[in-house]
Amino acid sequence: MLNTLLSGDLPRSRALSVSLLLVVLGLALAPFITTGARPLNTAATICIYIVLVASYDLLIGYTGIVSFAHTMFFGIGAYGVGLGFDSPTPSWGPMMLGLAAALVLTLVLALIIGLFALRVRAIFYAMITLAVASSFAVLASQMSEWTGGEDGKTFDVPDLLSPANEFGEFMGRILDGKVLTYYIVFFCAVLIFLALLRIVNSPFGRVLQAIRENEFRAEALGYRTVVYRIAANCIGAVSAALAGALLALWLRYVGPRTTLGFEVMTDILLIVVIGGMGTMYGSVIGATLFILANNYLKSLMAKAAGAVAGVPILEAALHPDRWLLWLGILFILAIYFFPSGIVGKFRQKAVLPGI
Amino acid sequence: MEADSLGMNLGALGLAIAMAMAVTAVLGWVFERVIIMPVYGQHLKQILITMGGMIVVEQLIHVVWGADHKPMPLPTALRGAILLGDAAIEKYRLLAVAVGVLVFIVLTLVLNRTKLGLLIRAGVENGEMVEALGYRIRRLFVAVFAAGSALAGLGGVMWGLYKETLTASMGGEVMVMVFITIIIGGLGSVGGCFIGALLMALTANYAGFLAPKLALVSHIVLMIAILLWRPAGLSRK
Repeated sequence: MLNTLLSGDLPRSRALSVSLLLVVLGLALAPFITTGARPLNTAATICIYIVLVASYDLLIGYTGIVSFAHTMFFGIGAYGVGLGFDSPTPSWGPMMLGLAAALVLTLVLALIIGLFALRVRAIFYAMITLAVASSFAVLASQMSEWTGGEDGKTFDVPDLLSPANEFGEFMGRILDGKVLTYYIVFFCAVLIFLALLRIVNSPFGRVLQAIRENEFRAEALGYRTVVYRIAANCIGAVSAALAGALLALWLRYVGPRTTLGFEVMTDILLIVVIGGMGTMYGSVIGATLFILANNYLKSLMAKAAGAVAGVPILEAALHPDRWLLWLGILFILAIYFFPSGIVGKFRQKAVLPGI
Repeated sequence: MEADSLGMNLGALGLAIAMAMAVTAVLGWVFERVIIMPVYGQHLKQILITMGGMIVVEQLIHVVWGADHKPMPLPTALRGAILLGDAAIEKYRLLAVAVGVLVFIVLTLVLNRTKLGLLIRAGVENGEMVEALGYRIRRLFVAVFAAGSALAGLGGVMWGLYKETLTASMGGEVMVMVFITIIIGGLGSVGGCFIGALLMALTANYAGFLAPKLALVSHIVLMIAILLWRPAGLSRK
């Protein structure tokens, strides 16, 4: 049962299994083991980032494509839901329409970018996607009468999901629309993650890994590598758009900063490298650690900055706004010393004594 | 720094440029040695590591100089415009054009007419062969990286003065345009870059004049059109 659910790709390390179990249980029970809005928000963000990073891992970790356009697809999904709900009386019909339109747009854009750019070398592809994504972000913030511009758009959700809609109480947490939304996000995230796990462990996924290892050889074996790369690109893009849709549903807000910004892209890169490229589980561990750090490290840094208040440079370096500095350093060190990420380290330890 | 004579101003600017280029050359050298060298030959890691390096350096700028925008007024003699017939041409833009042409000529000559340029081009084509011929290609490439960084420093001075403000993210902002220019022009060609930059600027200008909304995506449209025609850029057949 579990083997089928995880597509035969078990964690293969005791430490990893335990951490994964902890994360999943923590996320599944988040509304009941925590109180207040902030922890629930953190948990929902973790779910969404797991999907987003897993879909990016399909590209960078399994196929070896470096794309900087992932946030664009993330944003398209979010804006699809946001604009669908954007009316005085929000209902599911327009939202589904918006989501469908977003998914179609995602697919078409991913296909076009793939057709044009995947023929060229890796560095070229990275540059082209960066250019396309940044233009898209500018476009979204400029078409302000439609997208709300830099400020983005807040919108209402149907009454079923609104916090005012209370069903009852369970274990000290009032079951309202927000908790229901959380579970929608959680189960959608689980579903997409398992689907991605299924894809990378299918024969199709094996071909992607062959392309990553040696594209020339994969082609020589008779696989049309361009088709496979474009397909991987499209699957990753659609998953990212779905993650964006979940984010919009959760935040009830869409804006360029939370979905299209370059910061989101660097976050994804950091998570995928720290968690472990080419291991879907890396996205779970990485996203959990990263989002927790993002939410709680800042207050820790503020305390540390207060402790060294007299020292000029150190104080500025420990300022909460500078946390990206430390993550950047961590990122570089991770690429040098743990190229396989946390999951890779776990698995390595698990395998070595057995030899 | 308020002097009125053109000579004094240009002298101060030249000094600033020389300093900036020296500093960025050293920084580039260090960056290459410390950050990029361990991952040479691995494209994926190289992209990721330079990205990480950029984040760290940008944040360090915030740490040392603060996160605010810094105004950077032009030297007095370079403000204002010259009237040529009915057209007003800003003095500073003339200077920028002169500097650009100078860099272009020097780079073209060095890469195409000197032994150094020959070695660089050969090293890109087949590094092992050049090493087998007895040249220390690693040293050469560090020097190339440092020289590239110095030129980027020069570009930074010119761009900062053009914008008249300094922010830590100004590098990241022009990055995309730099990429597009190189892709349009084709890697490894100074002439291609020149044509690419001309095309970019002119398209953006005229698209902005004719259809302002279109100007935002004009770069991308131009890039896609050129890649359709020549997948490796203008300068390569």
